[in-house]
Amino acid sequence: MDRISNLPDEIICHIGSFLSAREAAFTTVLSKRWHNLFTIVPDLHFDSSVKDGESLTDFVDRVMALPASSRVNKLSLKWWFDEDTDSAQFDEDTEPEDTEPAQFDQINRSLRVVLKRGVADFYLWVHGKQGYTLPFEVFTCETVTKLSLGSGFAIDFLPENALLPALKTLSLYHVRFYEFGRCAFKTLLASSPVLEELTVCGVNWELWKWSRTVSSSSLKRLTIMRKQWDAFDDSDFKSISFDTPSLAYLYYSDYVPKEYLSVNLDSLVETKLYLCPEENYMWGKGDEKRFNPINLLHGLKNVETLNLYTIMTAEMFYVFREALPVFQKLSHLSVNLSNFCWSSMPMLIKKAPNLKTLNIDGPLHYESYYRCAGDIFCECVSEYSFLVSCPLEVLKITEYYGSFRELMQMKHFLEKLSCLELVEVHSQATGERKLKLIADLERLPRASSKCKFEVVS
Amino acid sequence: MSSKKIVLTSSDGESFKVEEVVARKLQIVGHIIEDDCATNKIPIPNVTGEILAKVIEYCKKHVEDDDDVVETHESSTKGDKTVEEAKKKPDDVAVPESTEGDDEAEDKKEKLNEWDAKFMKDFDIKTIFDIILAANYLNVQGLFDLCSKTIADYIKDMTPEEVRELFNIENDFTPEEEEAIRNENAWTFEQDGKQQVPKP
Repeated sequence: MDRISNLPDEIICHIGSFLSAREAAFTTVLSKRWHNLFTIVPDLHFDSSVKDGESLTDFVDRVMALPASSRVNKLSLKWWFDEDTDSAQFDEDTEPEDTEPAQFDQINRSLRVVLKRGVADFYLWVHGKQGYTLPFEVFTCETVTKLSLGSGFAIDFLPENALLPALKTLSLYHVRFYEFGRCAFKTLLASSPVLEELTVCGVNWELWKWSRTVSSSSLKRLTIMRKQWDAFDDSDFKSISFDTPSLAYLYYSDYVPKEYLSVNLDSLVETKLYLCPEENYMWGKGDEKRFNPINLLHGLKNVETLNLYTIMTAEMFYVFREALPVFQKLSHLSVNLSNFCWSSMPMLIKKAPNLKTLNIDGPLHYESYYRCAGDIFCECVSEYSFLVSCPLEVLKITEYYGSFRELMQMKHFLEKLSCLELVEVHSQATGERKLKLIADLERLPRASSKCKFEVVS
Repeated sequence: MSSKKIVLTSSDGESFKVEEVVARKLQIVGHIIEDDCATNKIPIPNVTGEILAKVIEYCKKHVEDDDDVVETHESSTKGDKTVEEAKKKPDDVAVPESTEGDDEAEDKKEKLNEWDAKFMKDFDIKTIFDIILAANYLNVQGLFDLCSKTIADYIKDMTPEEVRELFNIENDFTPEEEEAIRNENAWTFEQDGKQQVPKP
């Protein structure tokens, strides 16, 4: 007895309306009839910046015309305030203030339909002059696994039933958070129980009203990236806490708050840091009294790969060196010290007893000709004595010219690093010049007989 | 004044006497009552007594639901306006205030949901299909949704092979066609094996 086959199409479609996009697509394999009943839209796309493209009205009509059993795999909607069009309308005595809310309403009508039925990958970019508000369905969509939101609008309230049970990747571009009763940012993270990757790009959380805590038990990758460094107002930028016990990767590029109240980064394996105290300012004396990043620095104690990719961050480590933990697991260190003094280098090497790879982004450091013509070594490196007990195996230098002064620095590296296996230098040299670079290096006395040289162009 | 009784008769001749307010939950019946065509006896020719009894049981329990309100009121009343205003609130008010009334309404709704779940547990698949057909024909939206969702929930927890077996769906794809569809929807098959759920 073919029982469900007796049901008319409209009823099967109605049953299907309770399935998510994934589940509905799953059923299209049952039989030809089911395959024809459920429409999977692989890519639904609107971009208002495309010249002579589809209008928003046409797009919304297209969305609303989709059958109730349709499901969208990927939805991408990009909308910008169009200065020219709206100016033209203004010239024709049309109120410019009226156009944006009307278009926001159209956008949200189409979003509600798609979000209710199910979408796996949702990219939304609405950049208007008047405040855009997300429809609540963004926060109750059961199917979305990847969510990207931007740009410039605020999220101040999440519905009571907010829950994103499938969300794994969340990207926020220039989104601000406020709170009415409950912290919207904290609630959003708490509503995403399987979230693995969070990107906060264009962060300006000194302006947010929030609980000042990044809290997620499932998060594995976190990227925090400031875009606008000018006009930074730190008057309300007091503290940040991290409660992310599963985090394995952290990319953190921002100003630092006055303190880090609480930091749990116990699973952190790799981190890349660009941390500044304030606008146009290098870390210096006295800052150890104005800032307290100790908890953050201690939170990094288990890290295996550390990239202090600007001088700023290395200087922060130097300023707070007395409170710095020992990085027992650190095996890969990258530093970009430009040609500033390498004050932080001896300290970092000593705090990393198991260091295997050192990557020097930029050239080696030596005293400037103009200050002391006769001296080849800057006093900050203390004749490289800190290298003697370092178990380094790989040394990489990304800017190398082979000058006499560089060779004299290199001599110390080679004489003192007894476990060295590979020295890799990056140079523009080719042909015979390249051969000379290698020959010069090989002539130097070295503590490790296994040491090999490579010149990378 | 005593309330009016309506007698509904099924396709196999069984009669059910119900309050008019309950009968109105069957919107097709509601229309007949509105048109003032009704005697006290209304035939339901497409639904058997067994199934009609279940539909009526559901309607009695959900007699106060708003979602099944008959929409053919020609003259608007204060009650209707209040309902419409209440429905607009979630959109207009960004921060809903919780009140005791809201808590009571929520509690009542929760109990109704529990009743619904228990109500559905008693039925086999064939009965659910028959109730779906009846609810659709009689335009009882809440019951139609409830049964459809129940079937959908079964589908969610099964592999395609299990769904075919349970619902006796013939697989009329060739192996090549089925392979092509699986590839087309590969993103839905990424999950590692579905959990086994006891069949109804």
